[in-house]
This record gives sequence, C-alpha cells and structure tokens, in this order.
Amino acid sequence: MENVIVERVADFLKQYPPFQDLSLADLHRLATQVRVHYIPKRDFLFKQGDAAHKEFYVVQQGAVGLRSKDVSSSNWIDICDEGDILGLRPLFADQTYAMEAMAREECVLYAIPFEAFKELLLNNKMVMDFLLESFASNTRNPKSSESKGKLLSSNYNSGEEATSELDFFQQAFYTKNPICLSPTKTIQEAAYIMNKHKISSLIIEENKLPIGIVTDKDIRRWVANGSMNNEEKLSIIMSSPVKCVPPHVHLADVQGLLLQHKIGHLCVTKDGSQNSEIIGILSEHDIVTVQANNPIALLKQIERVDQQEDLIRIRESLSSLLQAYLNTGLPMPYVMKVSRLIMQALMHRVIELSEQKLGESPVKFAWLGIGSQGRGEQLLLTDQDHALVFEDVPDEKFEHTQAYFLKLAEEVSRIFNELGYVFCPADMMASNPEYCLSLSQWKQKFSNWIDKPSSKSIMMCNIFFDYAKVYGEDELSKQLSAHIFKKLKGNQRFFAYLGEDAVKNPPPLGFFRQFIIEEDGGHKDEFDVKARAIQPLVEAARVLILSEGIEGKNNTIERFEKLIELEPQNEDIYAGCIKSFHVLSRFRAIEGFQHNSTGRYLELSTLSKSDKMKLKRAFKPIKDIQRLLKNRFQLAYFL
Amino acid sequence: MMRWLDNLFKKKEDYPEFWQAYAAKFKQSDRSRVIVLDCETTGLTPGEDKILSIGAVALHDNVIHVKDHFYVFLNQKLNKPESIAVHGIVKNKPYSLISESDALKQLLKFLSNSKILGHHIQFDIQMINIALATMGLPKLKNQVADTNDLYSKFKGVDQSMHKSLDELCDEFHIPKKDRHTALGDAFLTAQVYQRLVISV
Repeated sequence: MENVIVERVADFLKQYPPFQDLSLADLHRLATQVRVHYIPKRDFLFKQGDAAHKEFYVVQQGAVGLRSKDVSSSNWIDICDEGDILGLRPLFADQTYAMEAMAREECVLYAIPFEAFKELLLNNKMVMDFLLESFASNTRNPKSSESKGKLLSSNYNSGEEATSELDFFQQAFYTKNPICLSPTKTIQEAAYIMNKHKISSLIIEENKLPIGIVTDKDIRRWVANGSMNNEEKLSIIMSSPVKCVPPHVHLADVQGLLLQHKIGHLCVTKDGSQNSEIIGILSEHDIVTVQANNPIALLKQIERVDQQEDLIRIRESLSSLLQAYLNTGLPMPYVMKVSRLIMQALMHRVIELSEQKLGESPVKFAWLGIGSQGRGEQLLLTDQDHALVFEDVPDEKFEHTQAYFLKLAEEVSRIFNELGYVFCPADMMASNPEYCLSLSQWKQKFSNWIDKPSSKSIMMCNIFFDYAKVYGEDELSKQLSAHIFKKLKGNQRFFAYLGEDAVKNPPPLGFFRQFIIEEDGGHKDEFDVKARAIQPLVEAARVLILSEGIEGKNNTIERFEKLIELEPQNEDIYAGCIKSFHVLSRFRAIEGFQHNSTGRYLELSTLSKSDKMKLKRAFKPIKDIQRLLKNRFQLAYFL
Repeated sequence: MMRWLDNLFKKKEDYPEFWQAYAAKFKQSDRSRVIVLDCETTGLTPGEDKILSIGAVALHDNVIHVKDHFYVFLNQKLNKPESIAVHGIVKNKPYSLISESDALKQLLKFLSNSKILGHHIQFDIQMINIALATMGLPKLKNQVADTNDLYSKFKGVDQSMHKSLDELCDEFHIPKKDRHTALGDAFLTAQVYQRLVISV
C-alpha cells in the first residue's frame, strides 16, 4: 500500500548524499525506519560525553550547531542545516559523543537507526565512504591540515584558532627515486655516476634497503688518505648506518637531525627506519630550496630586488606558494594573510623603485590601494585599483606637482601590469587625473559622494572607502580618514543608502534551494560567486563598521571580528559571515588558479554534490546579515 | 438503538477474541506511545456517513516512528460524490480494500492501550464507535486527546480555540503535504503535537 509518510521521507532524503546513491527500494526501506524528532530552539540533541544514541540524524528543517568544549567554548565547529548528517560518531568510534549538538533554530530531524543502516553500508561502498568523510570532517581538529584534494572544508574556526606566525609548518620535499648502488660496486664507478648526474651523494642498497651512504666528502677523504685503489669496493668508504626519516617529515625535524648528527643527507624510507624500502633522499640543498620559497624568504627578497624580472619571478613564486597552500588545505586566514603581506611588500617596492627612477617627489604623498587591494583580500591576479593623495600646494604649483605624480603613477601601473595586474578597465588608477589629487581635493570629492548619495556615488564609496596606504605618508591618509568619519558621523541618510546598496543582491538561492545562475552573456549557466556571494558580505561588513565609526579596519574578516567585539549579541551572525567569507574565497581562489582566471564564475556542473552543499551552506549567513542590515538601517522604508 | 441496548447487557466473555485481547491490554497503562489518528469519511454526519480510510502513526516518547503506522482503505457500499472531490478516494481504485469489520479488527490490534490523539478527534472516535457498535462491540477504551485543546492550553486560553489543521501547520511552519489523505493528515497532526508538547 502506498504510504505517504514513507514517500515524503524518501523524497526528502534522496536529494542529499549519501542517500541519492541508494536504489529506490533501499531508499524506501530506509525511509520506513526513520523517526521524526522535533527539537525546539536552543535544546540539545546530545551533549559532550553523553552516551551514544542508537541512531544518527539528518537535518530536515532548521539548523544544528556542533561545538566542542576542548576546542573553544563559544565557537561553533560546524553548523548542520538541511540535508546535513550528524551524530555519526557511534558508528565509528567510542560510545560517547565528542561534541555537543544544539538546535540553533527549531529543528525537525530524521533519525535513522544504525541497526537499519548497517546492512545498507555493507552493500554500498559509496555510502560508507561518504559517511566516513563526513565523520572525519565533523571531528577534525581545526588546526590540523585538511584532507588533500578536497575542494574545501570549512571546519576550522573563524580565525583566532589559526596561527598568526608565518612559519606555520613546512613539509620537507625530498628527491624521489634516488640513485642507489650496491656495496660491491667500485669507488670509481660511484664517482663516475655522481659526476654524470651532478649529485653529491649515493645511497648504498641491498635488497632495496639502505645500508649506507657515500658522499663527496667520503670520496675526498679517501683520496686524501692516499691509498687509492680504483678497484676498492664502496663498502670500505661508505658511512653506515645511514640516518633515515619517514616521507612526511617536517622541515624543522630535518634541520634538527642534520645539525645533531653533523650530516648533509638523510635517506627517506617507507616507515622511517633502516629496515624499510628506500623511497627518496633529502639533502641540505632541498631544505634551502624550501626555505627560499617560504613567505619570510620572499619578503626578504622583495626588499633587495631592483630588476623587473626579479619582481615578476617573486610574483610568480607567490602564486605557486598560494596554490600549494590551497591544495594542502592550510587554513584560509593564514593563506590570506600571507598573500596580503607579500603583495603589499611587492607593491611598496615597485613604488619605491619608481620614485627612485623619477627623482624625489616635490611634496609628500600617499599611495592608496583601493577596493579589494585596499582590503587586502586578493589571492589572485586581478586588475589594478589605486589612488594617490599629495599634500596641498599653492595654486600656481598645482599643475607641476600633479604632473609629477601622474608620471609616477604611470610608471608604477606599467610595472604592475608587467607583474600580471592588468590596467583597470574603469581607469580607477592613480594615473587618472581624477584620482591623483591633493588632500583638499580628495576631501571635497568624498564630501560630494557622502552629501549627494546617488547610485553612482554609492558605487564610488564602495570602492574608495576601502583604501589602505601602501606607500608614503601615513599622515595624509589619516587626515583623509578623519575627514570622512567626521562627515559620516550620525549621517542616517547616507547609511540608509549604503545599507540599501548592500542588500541589493539577495542570497543567491532561488526557490527549492536552486542556485541562481547567470542567464545570459559569456557566463551563461555559471554562478557569479563574486557578485552574488562575496560582494554582499564585503558590503555588509563595510556599512556596519563605518556606521560604528571604527577607523582603520579595512579587511572584511577584521571588520566582522571587530563587530563581534562590539555586538556580542550578534556573534552567531558575524561568525557565520566570517566562515562563509573564507569558504567562498577559497572556492574562488581554487577556481581562479585552476583556470587561470579571476575565479569569479563557478561552473556548477563541475562541482561535486558535497561542494555544492558547502557552497549553499555558505549562503545562509548572507541572508542573516541582510536581515540585520534591513532592521538596523530601517531599510523597509527604502525598499 | 436496540443493538446498542443489547451491547450494554452483553457479557464480557461474549465478545470475540480480538476484542478481549484488546481489552486485556488495558490492565496496564502505556504512557510512552501515543497514536495520532485520522479518518477520511464520506461526510460529516455520524450515523449516516461512512469511514473510507483510517490512517494513524505512533509517537514513542514524542518521537514519530514512521514504521509504527497504520493505513487501511475500507470497502463501503455508500459513496457520496461530494466527499470524493475532497479526499480523492474513488470507488474501485487501485487500492486494496478491506471490509469495515476487518479494518476495525486490525485497528484495535494497532491501537492497543495507547492514548489516541487527533485534530477534532471526537468526530473520528464517534465514527469508529458507531462502526464498532454495528459489529456488536462496545466503545473504544483508549484515552483521547485533541490537538485543539492542547493548542488552547499551549496558548494559555481557557476555552477551545477552533483552529483548522491548515492554520496550525501554517503557524508552526510545517509544510502542508498530502493534506486530505488519512495518513498524511495524521502525520501533519503528529508534527503539530510535537510542537505543542515539546517545549524548551
């Protein structure tokens, strides 16, 4: 007999992994076993240390927050909403929960008894894999590196958990398939091979196991001893035993071993002992190479270089560094910070070199990065956005002064272009006389934008309000900021306009939780992650922080962090925004590196189901923050 | 009327075995299981109209167990066209139909001694009791509760507030699906019940 309840439950489950992989018959059998729970807002489903339930849960309606006392007392590790699975721990691990689960909204949960599920698991490897992965991601230590190859996982905390040090950790990269020789070969043969392959060491092997190592130094000592007989066997001069390490070893450990044993090479074996197969060799040289590409080394190089080619090379190193970071899944706050610091240093150096070339500036000035450059949120190569402010000069000197700075800006933006930052198509660059102005002129410009809000002036505000000094006089940018904040104070009308603009792009989910995609143009059927998801968060953070009168917070994450400090009652919303921003930025960066593009348009058909779900989940905070904006700025009157 | 009087004086041991088994359950009480029940009928006049289908689903400690459900379609002679329009149950459709007496026999087994809950449940109980009387059986012995009364209590109002199931679903953000099927309505009512009895 047709059972409408089972139908309904099955209809819901089949939209989500892993249930979508089940056969219709299995799905119906499973749906019959489902139990429907209702959890009021702020009630606990289970608490940390509670005895395991005999069932796990799928969120049908509402949202459940997971947090662990061990990690952080107030931050959510993960938030499960429609279609997400939670409470899998009893299936894999010990008999108590490692986290607490609380309803953040009133929830309807479908509970599936483990008993009913076990048989399905045995017959469906895909289902098992999915659950294992979900389980792993729900219990992952937020600090540990994320699983490789997975597009994203957003389980680390909002940023304070990530280490702020630049030497996060570095894995040592070794040379695979090293050249090995048997101990019965002669010293001359060894010297011949080393010379031919330009290598400084050879591993001596027996049955694929390392029994010793011969280096340049060993041969030199042998020559110096004077008892040369070319037919002597390697076993006579090799150093034995050889120090071994496992394949995944941290740079710091390698350095420690080399120093401790006063050696220059390590053999990499399968399990790190001498009794397992050789898989590689690690030399001092490998370590130098790794260090040359670390963020600190890049920053040091930037200070020294003066050739355009070197700047280009560093810019390329940064890209490959960021790409490697994204692939190994380092936390986004760290990746973005590295990118910001290096990019700022690079631009600083370009301007410095250009100024040297042109001769000293006639008056003091400040170079301002605007837009995403000002916010320090770029991971990819984008177009240039900048402006220049110089000290006020007497009228008769103005033309001459501006001419110098325009020339400087032209030179700087030419080099930026060479580095891969193409010219701004809207000409929002310091080389445009409109945006290369004296302090008073800038003040006047901002006053105009603020006093006469229009869609054009709001657009300008959105771009120019996020300026950050890249080079030059702090005092100039500070005076400009002071002027702007004075104009903004209590200016309800302006904030209403800015707020209205910030909610113009609603969360990008249509009816039935479908993605809103581009309907025409060159990106038809693609999803504009920048305009539809990242931009609304950036704009919300800006209008909120400006209306609080907070100066010097330019970065979207920093802005939300400051807002949490100011309005602890809204912590959930702001923390959700931070997390979403990280997730979305990561999507964009990976897309951009993969296709060598701005990463702005995501091709939905290439995303996996679970990536799509993660993406959708990142949209929810957009809805929350826009609701907050509408309330705060009374936007109902405008909309 | 005569039959009802007959029933009144009938001795317990005269009742069929299935009724005795049902009645015996009430020696103990079971507070954890609640049955949410809904009947689709040919109309709204007890004694004249007939039951077309009975749908029910059980809650155990306020959790709806999908597996613990009951759904039957009854083979009735009388069919009024106007109620067909509402419920979409048409005579001679592909459902398998069973006789009223078989349906009630199965229902008693399913109900056991659990409390019965429904929206405007007295009507459904009356319909079932009349059908039981036709078989020469007494009334249902189960405790009965109405979502309407629970809702008034939930709102802190003394007299019953006559809200429709649709209105309650809207108020509690329960998506209305499968309205006007006995089991569909029972499932919706069960979800309303959860929100009324589970409070923070």
